[in-house]
Amino acid sequence: MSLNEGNINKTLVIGIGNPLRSDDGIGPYVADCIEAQGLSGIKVWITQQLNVEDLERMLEYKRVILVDASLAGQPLDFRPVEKSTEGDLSSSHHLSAGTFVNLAGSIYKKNLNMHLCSIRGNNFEVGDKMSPEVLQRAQEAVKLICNSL
Amino acid sequence: MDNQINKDNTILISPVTRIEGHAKITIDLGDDGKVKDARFHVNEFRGFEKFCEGRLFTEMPTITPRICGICPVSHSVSSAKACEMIMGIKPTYTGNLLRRLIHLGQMISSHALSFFHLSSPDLILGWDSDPALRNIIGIAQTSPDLALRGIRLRKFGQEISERLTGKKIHIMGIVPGGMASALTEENRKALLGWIAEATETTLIGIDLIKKYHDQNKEMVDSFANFPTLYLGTVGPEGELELYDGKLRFIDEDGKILKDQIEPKNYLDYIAERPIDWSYLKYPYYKPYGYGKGFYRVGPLARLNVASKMKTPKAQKEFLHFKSINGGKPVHGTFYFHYTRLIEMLSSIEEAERILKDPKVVSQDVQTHGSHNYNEGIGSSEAPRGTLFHHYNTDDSGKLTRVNLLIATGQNNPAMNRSVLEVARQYVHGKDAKEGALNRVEAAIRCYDPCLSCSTHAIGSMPMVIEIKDHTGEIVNVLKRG
Repeated sequence: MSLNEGNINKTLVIGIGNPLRSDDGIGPYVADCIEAQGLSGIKVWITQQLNVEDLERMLEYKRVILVDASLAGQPLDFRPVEKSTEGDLSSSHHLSAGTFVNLAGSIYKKNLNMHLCSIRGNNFEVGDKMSPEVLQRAQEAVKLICNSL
Repeated sequence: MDNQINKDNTILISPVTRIEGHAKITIDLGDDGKVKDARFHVNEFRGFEKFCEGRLFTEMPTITPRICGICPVSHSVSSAKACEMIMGIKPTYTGNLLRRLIHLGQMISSHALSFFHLSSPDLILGWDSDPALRNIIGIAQTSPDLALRGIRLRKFGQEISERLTGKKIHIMGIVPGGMASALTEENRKALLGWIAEATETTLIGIDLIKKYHDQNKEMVDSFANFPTLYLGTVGPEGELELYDGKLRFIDEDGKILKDQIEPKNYLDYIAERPIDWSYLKYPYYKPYGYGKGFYRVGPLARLNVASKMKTPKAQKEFLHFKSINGGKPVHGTFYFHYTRLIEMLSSIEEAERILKDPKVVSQDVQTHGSHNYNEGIGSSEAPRGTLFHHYNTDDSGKLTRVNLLIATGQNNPAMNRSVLEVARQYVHGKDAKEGALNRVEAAIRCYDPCLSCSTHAIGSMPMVIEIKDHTGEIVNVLKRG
């Protein structure tokens, strides 16, 4: 297996979500805002779901930041992802961030430096408009992430 | 897993794990503690067919891949074929070649996921091992090389999609008349570079399952082993065909009931009946009627139905598979895993052939047409079995009716029978151990069902389950969501 060494000093920001499910689109929105800043050493990737084979791509980077909408919890949370010690994989559609960290160590013998920025959404119904307060949280998230780089 | 025993001697397994989607199983015990009945319930409902009505038929090849993140290519291919029937056109040679290639890529990634990630934990770690680790994390800890190989095999399948269409999941680019874009020489070479590793990994998987069969022959042969009819797609000489061919039904003894059926005539042979305890209907072979006409689709069915394979390595394994029951159909549900691996091997060999065809990089990828007929039917073999898309339009090309007949739906009667068979074998009384319940789940996992596809479902919807005793009185209510 050969990784792309050109990314080794970069940070990968992954915006996760479906922009057609209202506030679920906040992850891609934040990722777009960060890309628009034009910062060096940043690569942005937008996806609707993460699969186990995406791990190889993540391992090319110095650091990975996941940005995703949450159903509950803090309005805005930004923290390092700890290794999940138990399997939470009940289907291929559900792979937690902690599982990626675990698999990086056990399969690839590498440390995955991963952070999760979760932004609590209010409305996940079909639609392409995000709630004003969630958009506000998104701006705070962009600042938080950019300051952490 | 949140398992419980209810007041009326019903054991509930919910949710069923390591499948695509959400479901539950109920096991009804009699007064003597023996299993009286068992059912596989699908709780999701999406109504995809309904909300497509009113759309232009040409939108369907880009809408329907959204049904599923595992088999979007099969949906797009079947949809494009239905559109081509409406337009009265055929794809170009290269358009067909590229569609075949992307379809094979999906077969590889889906089968790799099913075997290496979802089912191998039972085989490698054991049925009764710690359920918290009986998954990809447990495999990564105990067999990291196998876990890595499984991940990379899936990645190869996904990379075919990505290099052809720019997307790994929910692909775009399969269009009526062929493909929207051509394969570049650079991408052709990059994909060919995967073949040796993919073949080696698949052969390791085949070796693993065959050793498991040898070491657990009694269990494998008795695991949900029951006769059914089988349906699959074959080429003109009865060879396994996944992308484009005619339908063949065989009976439980392997006798061909009907061969070379045009997919557009599927309703002459397949009927469905709704059941009151699941959103999945019960399809059946129409000439035999409901009950007698239950059939199976998917890898086990396809290899039971096929007369031969198209590629040499897969043909060698196919002959071994055929020898298991003396040339007659293999009914043991556990053999889904072996047949899935043989299909993966066949898919890798066929992908190599296609990639070595000089015309695969031709720019002649699409023919064009317009609305000519008001009905279109397309089919293909999705990883889980035969898939049909059936559209009716008005004179402006707007859809007036959509029928999607999905593989998992067609396996629904057999999945229920499998659950019952395995429950009878392993569940004895209320105090069933987790490992026994895992075996019941595993009967379902053999079919690798995709509930998102079969019910056209999205996530898990809130659900109320009422449990009634023999008098019809509700004795327990379970709520979810």
